[in-house]
This record gives sequence, structure tokens and C-alpha cells, in this order.
Amino acid sequence: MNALRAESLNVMLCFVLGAALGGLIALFGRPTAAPDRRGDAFVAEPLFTLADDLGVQVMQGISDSAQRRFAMQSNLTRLAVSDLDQAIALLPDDVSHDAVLRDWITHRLAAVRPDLAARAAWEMREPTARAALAAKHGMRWRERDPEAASEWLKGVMDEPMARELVNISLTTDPEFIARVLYEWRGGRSREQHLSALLERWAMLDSDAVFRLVQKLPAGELTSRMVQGVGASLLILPRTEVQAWLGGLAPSTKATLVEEMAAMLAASTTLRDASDWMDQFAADLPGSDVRVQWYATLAAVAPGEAQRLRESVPSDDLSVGRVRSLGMMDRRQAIEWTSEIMDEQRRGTEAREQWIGWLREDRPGALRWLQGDEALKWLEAPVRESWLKRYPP
Amino acid sequence: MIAPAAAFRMCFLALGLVAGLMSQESWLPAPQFRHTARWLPAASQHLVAAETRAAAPVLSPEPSEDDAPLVDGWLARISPHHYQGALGQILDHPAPMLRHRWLAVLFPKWWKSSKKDALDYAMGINSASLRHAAMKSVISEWARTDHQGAWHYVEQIGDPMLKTSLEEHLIADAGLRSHSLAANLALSLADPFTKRKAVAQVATTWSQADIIRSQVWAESLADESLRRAAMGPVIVHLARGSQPHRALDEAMKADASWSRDLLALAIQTTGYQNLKTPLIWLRNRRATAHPSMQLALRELGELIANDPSQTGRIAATAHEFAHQAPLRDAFLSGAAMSLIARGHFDQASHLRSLMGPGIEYEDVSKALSR
Repeated sequence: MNALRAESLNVMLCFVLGAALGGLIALFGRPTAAPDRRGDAFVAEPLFTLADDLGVQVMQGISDSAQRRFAMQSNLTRLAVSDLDQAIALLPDDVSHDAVLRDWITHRLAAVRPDLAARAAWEMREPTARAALAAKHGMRWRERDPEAASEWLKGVMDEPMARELVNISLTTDPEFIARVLYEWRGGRSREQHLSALLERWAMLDSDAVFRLVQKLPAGELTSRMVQGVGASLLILPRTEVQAWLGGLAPSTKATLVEEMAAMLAASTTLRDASDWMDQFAADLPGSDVRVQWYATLAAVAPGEAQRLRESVPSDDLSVGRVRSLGMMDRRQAIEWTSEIMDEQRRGTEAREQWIGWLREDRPGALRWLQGDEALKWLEAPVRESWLKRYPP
Repeated sequence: MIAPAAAFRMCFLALGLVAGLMSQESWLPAPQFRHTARWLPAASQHLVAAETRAAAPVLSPEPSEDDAPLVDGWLARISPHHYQGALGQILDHPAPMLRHRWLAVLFPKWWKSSKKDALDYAMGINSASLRHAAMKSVISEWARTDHQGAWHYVEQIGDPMLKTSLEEHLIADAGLRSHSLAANLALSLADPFTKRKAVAQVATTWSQADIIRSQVWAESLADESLRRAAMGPVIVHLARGSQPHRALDEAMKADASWSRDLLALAIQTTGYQNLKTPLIWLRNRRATAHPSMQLALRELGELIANDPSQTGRIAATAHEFAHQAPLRDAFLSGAAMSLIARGHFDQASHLRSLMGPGIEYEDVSKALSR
């Protein structure tokens, strides 16, 4: 019985011993970064116990260049986490400068400290790589601390950085980037970058762009900033868009409405487009958006243009019809100018059509002007002045 | 020879060793998602729910573009019960391009599981842009099995912008199967704006697949506005392809009222491919060149002046049209304007000196004075 008990105890002891051994193996034998076998690791390793900056100073004294380089790199990478400014100050001033920084960012900083990764990237010398890495890690930093990331981005922003931020905006956070660009005061091309971003973003999410621009002070929104956004606003609720447009500077409003009108024929039905024109393009002084609309209408839906002409005759409509005809037949277009009530406008349009004819078929235009037919549509002094200016 | 008792003890020692090793997590294999969980009804709910919980962080803390394939895979695996939650997570993500990408993964799956839910949820998306994207995914999936049903549904949609966009999408989809089907759909549209756009779209895709039939179709259209809309893409495709001279000839043959535009388009397209093509074509047709080719000649002038290696040929080419002053002046004015735009004022002045008096001379003078 005692023998059996002793045997059981032995077996249990064996099991416990095995488990302890296994645990120790697992604890100390877990995979780590492969040790460098070039022979210089042993020089650097003991110095890891020193304070980071002291370690660097000691390592600067290693005479063998390869060993010094490895040792420096190891310690600098560690130092970068604790004191980035000092690590940057100790960076080698040679061709490896950017490569060392990239190494810090990739292997140490990116995962734990995106703020330091962004700042380290900004120290790179090659402008394109600097902008690409700084923008990427700046956006990672934004996930942890948007305020600090925004302040930093605005502080360091330059042309390549602004371009890079616009490039990555659609796969990161366009609203954040748009705000940074909007608040960035240092760049001459701020409006251009903001417009590029808003235009691309609006093609994918016009609602979000509209929500953002509604929050910005209407008086500060210039035509150049919102250029390219207009067409994307067509799918949004019209009353809201109209209310917002009403608060904008006239030139900004005109830019947007003209962009929207230009896309109407390709975006919706004739009836919907007509409703839109009635609602949006009624009061746009100085813009010929209605004329352009009637020109499109006359070209694509002549029946509707005719119906409109009979129900609401207007010079805009007649001018639109003239311009539409002018695309195909200049002679007919000039004949149609007689429908324009305003005398000055009639003369201007007729001249424009004839000049266009000259550019497309000079002999034909001059032949018509010299003939009797021209006198039906033009006054004799006008014809004489044209002939005098552009002799056959 | 080992005694049995010793062997027994060694076995337990080995067992203990294994137990000790296994207690360390890093030695365990990485957890794997069960891809086939859907086929085990009882267990699947639990497994998929666990998987969803595990994968939820994939979407919630802002996955980047690098993580997008991971999210694609997750969306493809989750059960229909989680579609609604996934949609919410997608719509909350700040990156618009990734939202579009994931909507295009989610909605076809949703459609396969429940047609009504997919349509309801797609139509219920607040953002108009994302609603359009989701509806495109649903309608594409629908058209895959029932094109007519999808078309019929789209025709009932009240929002004209959405309807127009989906019609365009369905016509493009039909064009992948049969160009004549796409053409019939385009011509069946009642709205003139939508019809014109659809006809141009069909002509573009058809000409890429079968230039001869597409040209026959384009020329057979009775409505002049539609014929013009269809002929443009046909000419462009001819000009880009292996028959650039034919493109230029066809453009010349078109109705007088719009051959000038088509010819300018053909010259521009062939010239972009190879500048020599329109030059040789023009030389061969010099005798029959008509003054209405001024627009095309201006286009050619611009093209030549844009190529620094060809600028030396401008004067020689202009000389070939010495007896057709309107064509010569149009050609020279196009070249001069292009040079002015790039700051070569001396060269532009020289070209102006080769021009006769007229509107082109005035245009160049005005541009030079500015």
C-alpha cells in the first residue's frame, strides 16, 4: 500500500516537474526578435541598461563604423520614444538620415505613438516622402487626439502636405481634413486645395459636404472654395439648398447655380429640370444660366422649347434658341434673332452668330452678308459696318 | 531497457511538459473564424454571433484602407441578422470611399437573403449619395437574375434623380449582355434628356464592341438630336482604333450642319493618337477641302503647336493651304493661340505675319496684346 502511495507521489511529482519545466521553457523560450548575428549585438546590448541618451553618447565612441551604426540605431530608436527631440538631434547627418527616421516610424513609433510618428516623419528631408508619411500618421494621431493632431497639421502644413492630405482624404476623414485646410491660414493655394477636396468628396457624399459647408460662415465661402461642388448638390433636398444659397455672396451663389444647371440635362428628367430652373435660376443677376438652359432645351427637346415660347415669351428663351441653332446653322440663328425684343440684345446676338460663322466658314458668312437675304435681318448700316471691318 | 515504472513516470513528465507549454497563450495557434458556420443551424447562431462580436471592432474604431479587405471578408461572412447593424457601422465610418466599397459588398448579400429588406434599407438611407450607391448595388444584383423586373421597379421610382441614375446603370448592365437590348431600352425612354444620354451611352459601349453595327444603328436613328448624340462616340471610337482615316471620312460625310463638329472631334482624337494621321489625311484631301473645315483646321493647329517637336512643321503645313486662305488662317490661328497660351509670343507673332486680314488675325492680335 505504502509502495503504491509512494509510486503515485512519484508520478505526481513527475507531472508537476514536467509542468514547471514546460512553463519555464514557454516563459523564457518564447519567440523574440531574431538576435543580430553580425557580431555587434554584444556591443550594444549591455548599453541598453544605460539611460538612453547616455547609451547613445557611449556608442558614439565605438570605433568600428558598422558596429557603431547598429548600436546607434538601436539606441536611437529607443530614445525616439522617450525623447524624440533629442533623438532627432542625434540623427546621423548623412544619406541614411531619412532611412533611420523611416525605421523608427515603422518599427517603433507607428504602433504606439502616432503623434511621435507624425513628428518624426516631418523631420525627413525628401519632401514627397515627408508629406506622405506625415499626413498618414497625422491622420492616425487624429484617431486618438483630433484637437492636437489638427493643431499640429495646421502648424506644419505646406504645399506637398496639403496635396497629400487631399489625396488620402476619401479613405480617411475628409471632414477633418477639410476643417484643417479651412483653418490653415498659411497657404496661398488653400482655396484650391479645399475646392479639390470638396469636389471629390461631394461626388461620393454630397450630404456630408453640404452639412460641412452649412456650418462654415457663409460670408467667407468664396467661389473658388466651392468650385466643382455645385453639380453634386442637385440630389439634395431643394428647400435646404436654396436657403443656404440665399445666404452666400452673389458670385459664389452664381458659380454653384451655374454648375448645377450645366448638369441638369445629364442628371434628371426634363420636367424635374424645368422645376429646378424655375426654383433656382429665377433671380441670378449677371448670369446667363437661363439662356444656357433654353439653349439646351431647344437642342434636346425642341417641342418643349416651343411650348414654353408660346406660353411665356421672353428674350432669354429667344436668345437660348438662337444659340442652340447657332451650333448647327448660323444662318437660321441670325434669322431667329428677330424674335429678340430688346434691340441692343438682338444686335449683339446677331453679331455673335455672324462672327461665329466667320470662324467656321468665312466664305459662306461673307457671301450671305453681301447678298440681299442679309438685308431682311440686318439694318443696312450694320451690314455696311461689318463688310467694312471684314472685307471679302 | 527501461523499467515500466520509470516509463510511466516519464510519460507523466512529458504530459506535464506539454501542459506547461500549453498554458502560455503565445504557443497556441491563432484563433480562426469558422467560415462554414452558416451550414450548422443550431450552432451557427452562436458561432456567428460570437464572430460578429469579435469582428465588430473591425468596423467601429475606424479601420483604415489597409484593413478594408478584412472588413469585406467579415461582411461576406456575417449572417442576415447582422446586416442592419453592419449597415449602421458602415454609415458611421468617416471615409466615403470605404463606405461605398462596403455598401457594394453588403447589399448584394442582403438582396440574396431578403429582397424586400435590401430594397427597404437601401431606400431608407438618409444620405442621398449613399442611397444611390446602395440602390445601384441592389438593382445590379436584381438585374443579374431578372433584368425586366429590375427595370420595371426602377420605372416606378418617384425620385427623378435616382430613377435617371438607375436607368443609366441598368442600360449599361444590359449592354454587357446585348447591345440591341440596351439600345431598345434607351429608345424606350420617354424623357428626352434621359433618352439622349442613354443613346450616347449605348453608342459608346456598342462601338467599342462592334463598330460596324453600332454605326449602322447610329445612322438609322430618325431623330437628328439622337443621331448626333450617337455618332459622336462612334466617330471617336473609329478615330482611336485601327481606322483613323475612315473616322475622318465618315465625319466629312455627315450632314452638313454637324460635319464640322464631328470632323473637329475626329481630327482631335486621331491627332492625339498620332499627329501624322490627320496631316496625311488633309494632304490627300487638300483638293476637296471645304471652307467649313475651318474649325477642324484650328483644332489641328492647336495640336501641332502643343507638340514642341512638330512646331517646325506649322509654317510648311500652312503653306499647303496657301490657296485656301480661310483654312490656312484657321490653322495658323489655332497654332498661334496655343503658342501664346504657353508663352511663346515670338513664334506666335511670326505665325500671325503669315495670316491674311480677318477675324483670325484679330483674335491672335488681341491675345498677343493681352
